[in-house]
Amino acid sequence: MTAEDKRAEIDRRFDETFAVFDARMRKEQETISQERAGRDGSAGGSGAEGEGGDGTAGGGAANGDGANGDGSGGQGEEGAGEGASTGDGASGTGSEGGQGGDVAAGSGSQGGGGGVGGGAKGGGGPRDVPADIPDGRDDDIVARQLREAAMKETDPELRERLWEEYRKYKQSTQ
Amino acid sequence: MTTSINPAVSNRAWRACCVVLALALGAAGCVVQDERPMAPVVAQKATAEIPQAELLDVGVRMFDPNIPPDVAEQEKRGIYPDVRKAESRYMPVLLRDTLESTGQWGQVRVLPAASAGSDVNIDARILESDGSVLQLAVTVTDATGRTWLRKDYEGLADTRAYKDVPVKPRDPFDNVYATIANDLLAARNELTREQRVQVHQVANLRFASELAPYAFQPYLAHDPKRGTYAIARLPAEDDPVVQRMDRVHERDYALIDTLNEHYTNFGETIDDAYVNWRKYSHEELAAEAEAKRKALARGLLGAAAIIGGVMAGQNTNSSAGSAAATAAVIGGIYAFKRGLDMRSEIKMHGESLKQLGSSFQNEVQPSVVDIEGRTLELKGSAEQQYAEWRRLLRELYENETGLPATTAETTQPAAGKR
Repeated sequence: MTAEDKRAEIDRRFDETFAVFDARMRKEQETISQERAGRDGSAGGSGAEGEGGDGTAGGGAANGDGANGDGSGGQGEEGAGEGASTGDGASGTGSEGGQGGDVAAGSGSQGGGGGVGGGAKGGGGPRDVPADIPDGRDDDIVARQLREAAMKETDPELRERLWEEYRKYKQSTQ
Repeated sequence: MTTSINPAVSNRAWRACCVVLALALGAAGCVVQDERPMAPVVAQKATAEIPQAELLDVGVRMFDPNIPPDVAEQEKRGIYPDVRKAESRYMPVLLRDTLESTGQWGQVRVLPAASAGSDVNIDARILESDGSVLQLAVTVTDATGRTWLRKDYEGLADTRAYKDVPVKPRDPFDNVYATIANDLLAARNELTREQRVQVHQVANLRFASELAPYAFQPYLAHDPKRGTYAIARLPAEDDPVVQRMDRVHERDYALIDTLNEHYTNFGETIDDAYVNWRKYSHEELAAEAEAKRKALARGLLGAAAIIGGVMAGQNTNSSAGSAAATAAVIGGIYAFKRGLDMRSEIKMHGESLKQLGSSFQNEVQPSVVDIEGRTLELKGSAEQQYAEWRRLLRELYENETGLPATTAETTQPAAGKR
């Protein structure tokens, strides 16, 4: 392969990852706009609750993209961006784990998670992990950060909410 | 009937009464806050177009909420952790909006704490915030490591913002933000044109150097001791690595802009509840201070009457004088007791403040958790992309130069660590 060919190959991969990233940002901004419109349009307080729901949905979609990201170097064939809103996430992830290598290898092996739905409320100090939380060996970077935040949090209520976010995130990436 | 009083004793008694009365009057004169309308501080707006090369971008980092780890200390100082966390995200948005409104700057963005910087970076710590007073410790630096200002700002609430009016009023602490904006402008105006241009160039090179140090470090002269950065030389614009880096930088801006949308959304979500909390907190604090003032004044007046009565009683030999002195003592005791009774009112206001804080904390907590979770998710997925870009940039550099990318990336790169 000549230097010229190699540069073209690198550029193609750049383009793919940019497309994935741009789609991810677009999607996030759409979610935000919808929330804002929802709040402006809907009457008062219930709006906030509704948005919470939207938020998690957005988060879920985002995870898919995140997964895409790690493997984009290898696959990326979906022209990423536009497809993102429909099929994104999971499939891309699984097939591309190898490419990501150090990037986010974990995201390709999310099978292990599970166990969502436990009501392991309260109790314990900041570092205690609720019984229904998996061991985290297959955590990707997002899950890891959520897990660390929850483990560091001293406020029990806030800690439980962070664990809840973690559960939702893990569920959405399976 | 005559009353004879020992002049020396009388003088002493009179002096003691005067001191106590002066204290009482002084206490009565203490006012919590001047309720007169405040003169608004206006953030100075640009009157002429600023050349693009000199326009500096500003990053307002998430404020330090400054929450004491000790719960007892939090209670003592009336700090509610989630309220502070909310404020640490809400206030930067207000400062950003103030700076943006002046037209003196390029892009003004709120950045996550500990994120890579912009051309000019604002860090602030919340020293006090209770609806009546806002106190911030602010530090502003630029990409070259120059400190623009390091200053504490304090402002009393403009209580017009707490009035129920149909049109949305100013933030009660707009004056604080406007003052910071004006100080920032004054600091910028002290720089020469060349210095401003260099700030922007150094910021770009620092970003690039963090992603691809083997390619960009040679362009930067860094003095680790002084924490300063300068340009050693500029890279060629047609350098393929530079061109790709520019595209990566665009994505970095897109990420920050998206995060900003989240922060804006968050601010709008909590806005009404936050304004209400500050309003009622201000009212309770004022009422509490008023009760304290009254209690102190009554206590002191009572003490003055008792002292006067006792002294007069000792120095009168008439029954009328004695009766008057006794009445003064009784009256003093009564006033003193009334002063003590005010303590229950003070306590009541203290309890109301606690309830207000807890209630607002519960209200705002889900939003705080939501924004924290979303920021983490967004940053997390972006970090994966940055890692891929780093790898591609390295490959590109090696392909273009035929040299190995030898500079070890041992330090944690800041770019992509938004």
